[in-house]
Amino acid sequence: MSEGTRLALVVDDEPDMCWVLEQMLRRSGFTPRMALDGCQAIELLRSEHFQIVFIDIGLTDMGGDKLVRQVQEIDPGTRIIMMSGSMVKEEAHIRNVIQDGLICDFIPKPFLNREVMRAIERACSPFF
Amino acid sequence: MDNDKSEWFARILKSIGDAVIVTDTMGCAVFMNPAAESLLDCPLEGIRGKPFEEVFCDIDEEADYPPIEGLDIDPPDHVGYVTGNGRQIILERSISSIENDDGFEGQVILLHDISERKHAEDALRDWAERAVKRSEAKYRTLLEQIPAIAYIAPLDNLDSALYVSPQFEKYLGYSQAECASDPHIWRKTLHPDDCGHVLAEVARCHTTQEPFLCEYRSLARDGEVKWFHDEAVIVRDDDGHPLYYQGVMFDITDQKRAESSLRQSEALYRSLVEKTTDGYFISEFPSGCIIFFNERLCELSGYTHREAMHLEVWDLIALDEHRRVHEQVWSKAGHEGHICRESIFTAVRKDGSTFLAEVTVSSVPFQGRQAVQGIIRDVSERERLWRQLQYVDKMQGLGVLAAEIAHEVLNPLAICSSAVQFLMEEGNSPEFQKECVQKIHSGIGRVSGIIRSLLGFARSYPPATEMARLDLLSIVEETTALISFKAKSQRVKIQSRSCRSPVFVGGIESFLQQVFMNLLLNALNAMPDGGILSLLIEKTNREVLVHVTHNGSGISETEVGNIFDPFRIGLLPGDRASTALPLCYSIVKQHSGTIECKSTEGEGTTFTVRLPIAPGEE
Repeated sequence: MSEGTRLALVVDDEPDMCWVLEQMLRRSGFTPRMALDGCQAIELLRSEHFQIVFIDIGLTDMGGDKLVRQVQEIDPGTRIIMMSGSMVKEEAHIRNVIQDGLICDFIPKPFLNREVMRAIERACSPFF
Repeated sequence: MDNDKSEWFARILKSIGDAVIVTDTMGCAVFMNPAAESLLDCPLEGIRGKPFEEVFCDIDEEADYPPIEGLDIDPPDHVGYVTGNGRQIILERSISSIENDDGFEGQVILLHDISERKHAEDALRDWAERAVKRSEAKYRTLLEQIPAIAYIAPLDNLDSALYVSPQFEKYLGYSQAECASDPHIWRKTLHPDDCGHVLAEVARCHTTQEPFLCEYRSLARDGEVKWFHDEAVIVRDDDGHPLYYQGVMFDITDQKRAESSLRQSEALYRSLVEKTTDGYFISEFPSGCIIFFNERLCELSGYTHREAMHLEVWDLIALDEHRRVHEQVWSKAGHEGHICRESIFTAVRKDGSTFLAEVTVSSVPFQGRQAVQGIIRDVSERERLWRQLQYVDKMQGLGVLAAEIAHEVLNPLAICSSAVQFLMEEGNSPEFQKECVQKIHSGIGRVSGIIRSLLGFARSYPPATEMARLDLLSIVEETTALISFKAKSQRVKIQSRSCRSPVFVGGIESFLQQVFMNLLLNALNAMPDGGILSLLIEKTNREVLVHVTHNGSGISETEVGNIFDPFRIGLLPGDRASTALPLCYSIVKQHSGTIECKSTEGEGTTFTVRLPIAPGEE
């Protein structure tokens, strides 16, 4: 990986959702990586530093909130943006990670692409 | 000449074997022949001059020879004699007078030793007397041991006994002594309500001298009521003259009680059968001819009693149900002890209208014939409510899935939405545009798939009432697809193994979907933190087995026992589990199948549904 390359990771069990986020990350100058479940994600996180990680709350092998805590342990400097298709059900989990200051943004699905772009920008801001 | 004669006589007398003694006019012995000397063991000198009363002892017995006509011979008598050596002998003595022209001259006494004969006769008499006594004792013992009171009563007074056996005390509490001192004791024990007819019968027998026969109640000393069957006959002598009444009173209290309780239970049974809110019939087997029809069944069917007696059970069953009812119910109903419970079929009224009937039949002997009894209940209303409940339960099930289904719809929608937004941007390469369109197309496809399976699940309300030929495999697969979203959100892995080809069963689609949805949701509930849900579909010759297994928290043995019970303890009102599994049970049963649950606490649970394969598919 060359100097100055900014890495981002998308963790979602939906390959097409990963594709969507990859497009937007590229537009923001990131090199996106993709993980379909929590285990894959942890493996990648242990080998490289990701500036931004998108995590879907409903993963097949573990809860997104659990992965958030693991990411913070492995690489505390990583900015995490959470996404969810059903806020109601996961409300408690999301509230906890927000309250604990573990994520920098939360985006409900479906979303406007520009909201995602803005979230990426915010996550990269040194003032955050 | 006289001397010659005398000598001649004397020679004869000496030579004959019979003992002869001749007396003078005073009755004293003047001659004894040798046979007499030998018999009496005494010479003439020993008894000469002695009156006979001193020689012989009178034994007060006459020999029973008939008098000989024309002979002046007194009938012989028997006398005792003690010989010189002290031996007692019994003699038969015949005395005849000797008379000549001067008148009475003396007596000739003929003696004959009959001791042995007498001894034999006495022994025989003794034996006979003893035998009579023995048999009397036996008879008395027998009489006094039979479970009845024996009595003897005079001909003209049947109600005052001459003899009452000791059982009188056992049954009525009065001793033989009391009976002897009070000849009217029997009359006094008569129950006031029976006294009249019993005494009337007594009076009739006195007049007609016919046997006495009566059943009546008596009051024992302690007030207990006893039932007797009393029979007396007239005993006659050899000439046929009536002597007395001989009777026996049998205690029939237990029998009467049993009869009474039988009558009561019969009355109870009859009233139960007549007043029950269910229809009840008895029919011949195997013909099916009705032989009993209760009021309620008349109301249900519209037939009168009289009309019903000309019916066969088949007249009450819808024509297209005949085959099924015959196979599932009737063919088994004739086996003794077999009960076919709660089969549901369409019943036909007299006017041709129909209702849903639930019938329980069993074999019963009826008046010596093999018969089948049945209880018929109109369950139309219950079935309607049940179907409503089933629908509500199904909608509840969909409600449980709603969040996951929404999530599943939102994901492809989010992808479509983003792809559309990309397309709206300018400067995209044609390849990228094509990629976007493909993503949109696939997203729309997924959303429609989800909506279709939802529709498939929610369609058909009200649910069909007729059984149809259905592919169980696709029902299970579609239902599994629907719960897969929830499974995914709970991180439950679904493993499915099944036969490849369709498996056809007779059933109602909406109901069967519900069975599997409830079983699958039940499995997911047991695995809130993930697990493995396995589905296995097996086909045998006659049935298809669907095993739904989960490795979540198992349930205890006692809970397994009542898991299909809608009223089981430990469930809160409104808890879905209170209806979900009991509904599965009812639906499967309605489809002539079975459902069972095996569970090991802490390890997991398997529910197995067995359904018969549709006719022609075996």
